[in-house]
Amino acid sequence: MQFKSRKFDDAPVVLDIKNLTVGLVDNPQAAPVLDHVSLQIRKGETACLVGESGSGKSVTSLAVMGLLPKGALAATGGRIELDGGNLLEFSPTRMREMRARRISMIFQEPMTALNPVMRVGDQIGEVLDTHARMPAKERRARVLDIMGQVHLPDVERIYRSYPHQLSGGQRQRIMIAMALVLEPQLLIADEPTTALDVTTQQQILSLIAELQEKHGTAVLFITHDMGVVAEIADTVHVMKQGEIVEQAPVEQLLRRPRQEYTRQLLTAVPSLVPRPSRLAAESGPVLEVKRLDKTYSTPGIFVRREPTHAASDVSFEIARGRTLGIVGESGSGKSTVARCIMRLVDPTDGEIRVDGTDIATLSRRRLLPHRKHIQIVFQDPFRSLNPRWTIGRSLIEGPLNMGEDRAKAMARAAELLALVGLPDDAVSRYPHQFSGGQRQRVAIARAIAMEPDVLVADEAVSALDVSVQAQVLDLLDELQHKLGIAILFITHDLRVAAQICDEVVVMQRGRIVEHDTAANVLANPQHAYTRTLIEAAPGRNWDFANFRELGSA
Amino acid sequence: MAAPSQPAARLQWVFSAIALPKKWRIGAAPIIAAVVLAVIVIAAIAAPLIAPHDPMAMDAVQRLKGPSDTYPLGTDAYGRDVLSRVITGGRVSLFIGIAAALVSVLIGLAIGLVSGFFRLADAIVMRIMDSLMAIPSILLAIALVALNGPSIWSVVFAITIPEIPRVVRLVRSVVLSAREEPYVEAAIALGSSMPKILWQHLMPNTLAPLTVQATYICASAILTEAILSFLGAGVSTEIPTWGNIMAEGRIYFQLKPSLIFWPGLMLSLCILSINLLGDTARDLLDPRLKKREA
Amino acid sequence: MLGYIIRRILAVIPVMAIVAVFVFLLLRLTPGDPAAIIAGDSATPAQLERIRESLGLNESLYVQFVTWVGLLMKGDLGTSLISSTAVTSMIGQRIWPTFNIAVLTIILSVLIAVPMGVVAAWRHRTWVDYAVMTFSVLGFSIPVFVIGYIFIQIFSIELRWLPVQGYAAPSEDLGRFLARAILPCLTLATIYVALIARMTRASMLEVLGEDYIRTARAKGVKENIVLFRHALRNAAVPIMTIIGTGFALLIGGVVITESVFNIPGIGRLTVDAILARDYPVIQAMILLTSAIYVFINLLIDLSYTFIDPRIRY
Repeated sequence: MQFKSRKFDDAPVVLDIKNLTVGLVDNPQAAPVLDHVSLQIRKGETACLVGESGSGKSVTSLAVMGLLPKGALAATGGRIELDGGNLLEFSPTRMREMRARRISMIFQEPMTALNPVMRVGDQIGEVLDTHARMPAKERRARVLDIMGQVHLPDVERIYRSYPHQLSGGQRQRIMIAMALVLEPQLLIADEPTTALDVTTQQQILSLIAELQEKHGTAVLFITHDMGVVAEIADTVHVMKQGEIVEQAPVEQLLRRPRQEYTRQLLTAVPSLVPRPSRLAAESGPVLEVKRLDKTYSTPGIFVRREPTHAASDVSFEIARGRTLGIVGESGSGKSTVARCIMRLVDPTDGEIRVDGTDIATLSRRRLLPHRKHIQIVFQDPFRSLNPRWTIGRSLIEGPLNMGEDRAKAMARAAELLALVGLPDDAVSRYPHQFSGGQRQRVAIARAIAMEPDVLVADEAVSALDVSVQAQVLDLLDELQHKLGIAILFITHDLRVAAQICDEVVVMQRGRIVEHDTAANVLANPQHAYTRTLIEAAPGRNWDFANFRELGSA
Repeated sequence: MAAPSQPAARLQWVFSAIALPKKWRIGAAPIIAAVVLAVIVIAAIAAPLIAPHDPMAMDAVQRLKGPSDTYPLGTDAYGRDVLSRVITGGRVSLFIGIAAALVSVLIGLAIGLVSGFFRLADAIVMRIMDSLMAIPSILLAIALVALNGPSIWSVVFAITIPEIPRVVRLVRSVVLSAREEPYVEAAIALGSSMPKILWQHLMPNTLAPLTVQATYICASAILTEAILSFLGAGVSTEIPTWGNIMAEGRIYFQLKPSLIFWPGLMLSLCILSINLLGDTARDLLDPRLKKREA
Repeated sequence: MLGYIIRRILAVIPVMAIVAVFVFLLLRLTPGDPAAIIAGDSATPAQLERIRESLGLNESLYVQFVTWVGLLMKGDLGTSLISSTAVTSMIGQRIWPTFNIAVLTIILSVLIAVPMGVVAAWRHRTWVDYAVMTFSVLGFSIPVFVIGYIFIQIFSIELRWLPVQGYAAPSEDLGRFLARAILPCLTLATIYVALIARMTRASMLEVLGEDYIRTARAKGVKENIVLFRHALRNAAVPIMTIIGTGFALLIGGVVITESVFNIPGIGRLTVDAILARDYPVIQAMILLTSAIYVFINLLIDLSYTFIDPRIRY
């Protein structure tokens, strides 16, 4: 692993945050959201701010931009020095002039960060209009120039496009162009690649690095992803509950973390090394998918549109007690496959055999008895439980549908909660009283309550912090061990797949491009696309949990 | 698959949690509104007991008199006591308001649930709803009264027809967004039947916005009733309603504006209170429900 | 885009068809003899027969419907029972005052209401916001005719600035027209302004919380540009929608306002028709206003394609 190891001691300090404290406006007595945060960034340096959700990373960046939500949060102490002035003392007008000229920011969601009703060229041009007067022709030339610098193809066409006509990666390039067109000294990037696919992420990261090199920009990069940190950081600042708990150059931090919290964060990062292979099952498959096809066609009277092949010719099988992972980027069709198997959407063609019965074409009524054999856990823990129902009521919904007696189902619900590691008084509580990880446990318990043979986990750990992710993965493993269920694990994250899967299927544009054991797919990928995916995984040569290079044991 | 967006979601959650106490600080206006409305409702229910005179009793000698001890608000063109008529006038108005709200919400809920969940029914139902929305309630009421003669139920029917589509659209939009929720998909996977999902998972989501909508329908129905009576197309002129009192007072408007002023004030206060309570309910029950169909 | 426009226009056909069936059945499915109801208690058998004849009530329901639709297609809305003139020509004579006042009201309302709503959202939870919300809830709560009489009382009777009632055509004398139209327009506009301001505020509040507004602010864009260039255009679709659906309120308002201010428009025509139980006129008015409502909402639907580039089906 090649870390950045440049020294910045001689470079001028661009941003100097000193003892920044941010508190709730309504409740000054409450614990501050940011507590004496101090950090320095020098010219050309990339400082990464890492931490789990709620640690105060985004609040720090918004405070620097002067964009803290009015009436909710306010800086109560400390200084933010840039260009010799204290940003916290600036008038709104002066602060407005600083933005885009001295400090710029790019955000997490490129899908929503651009104005949907304005051409993207005009959105970049607006930055020039706001801060510099120039003739329309020159303005256009500068916009096209910066669009070229962020490597957008066919800039003339894209200049006239609306955001919805561009891909996520292209939109993020527009955001970067907008942020850098006036060559600010400081760029704040708040999880700029989190919403992107791993291959796009790699491109955006190298673009930021390239432009930073060219213009000597200081970058404050906010992320939760240790892989990204390993790739791009010069210095790392670890945040926990509004405080910076550790700051160090990247290599030092990853090799010799001093704080217990940093060690925990790093240990929880799943390794790209596949789990030790397990004995192949002697029993037959419980789930067989044969030549599954899902085509979306929109009937139009006036416009004929090409039907979309969300999944074509997808075949695989899973045996009892085994885990098969489907890995792919957005639009690869992996979720479509999951939804077809669950019959949440009706497949266009193919067979889905659950315990030998083909359920692909069964009517709703005939399907009902087979529902219990196959259950699903969704991605978003905040939306997968009915907020109005007690945990107990959610847990017995399925068993009651199968004709079980209510008292028996309730007794079983309490057992299930114990099984997934939740207190038994949870039965009478509501989802909002639980954290994301706990809710995901409840969702797993609800699926297990049906005593299924197959459990489909659709990005089931993707919305969780790494430490929680590790616990939920352990839980799934343990349940599989105890109950012998087969798991179909759908994920975009190769690291997670490596940790839990026996076999991996790689999907691209609705088709399976590679299908092998996890060890083979990760260590010896055959298909070019699989290799691209693996190479794009940030920090892939580093074994975070053991603080060393991979394979240097 | 796009990776999680948890930091942003979390941030948002933190802010909404901070804002929560503010939302529950309801201020004085709704409390005053509740008191005013309570007084009007109690007065209307107890009208026969508290009205100083018989609201129907005419007295040719006492025509169009100004305020006096016997007639605190004066008398109308037939020498009837304005105060007693204004107190009694609330009965019909409030009845129509409540009836219209209940009828349109119940019918709209049923149609909206079905329309939101069954794609086949949806297209047809929505076309019919579009048509009903296009029919202006005032003109419809006028036509009905022209055909059936003045009756309370004609008025309720006429007000309900264009309101139902608004309720249907509201329920349908709530159902459409709720049925995409993973917990509803989980229920399908757990083998819950469609009626069960509709009733147990989806219907409760509509209750908060419907409560709010019902208050607005109630207010607008009372207003429409007054307009119809004012035009001579409302309930029978013999029954004192706020609209009727004003309709009779129109001719004497320049001579005695108080004949329009007092019932108009009561009517406005009543509708204002209901609207304010509706706004408060909306802010408390569902802060995201801003785009109401008005 | 063209496909979208054509589909929107075609969608109008079933809507208007259902309205027509509804209006048709309204008279025919009324319990009792509609002719007797329309004629009143003191009608002679000859009068009843004349009404039946005139409304075609002696035919079977099916024949009646076909004949009625056939006449509608030719632009024949029937004949008044009272004056025996064609309803279309009655409407033709009376439509201009109503049209002028309605157009003036809509323009006035949008010009007042949209800035009100924008400022209220921008200054959310300040006195400006509360003032706008108070005005809007008042506008919803006070009956149109009460507002009309209050205006007459203040501006015409107390201050003597404007004539009490009446109408003059703008083509004859613009000054006289404006002097007589301003109070009816303000009266009508009150509820419309309340409605639009409220929706503008709500829609703006939602848009102002969007990520791209944060982006605009992060670019250092001035606040008024953030509000009007970035936010308002994104908030426009629900505002346009409410202008369209609020048109139904305007129709009711026109009927009353014309009575209060004694304006010889189609609103007065309707009120006169109620008092005389002139059913063909009432029926024609329902059809006409529904058609205008549908047409206006069609225009608004089509305008979405210009406001929001994402709508291109």
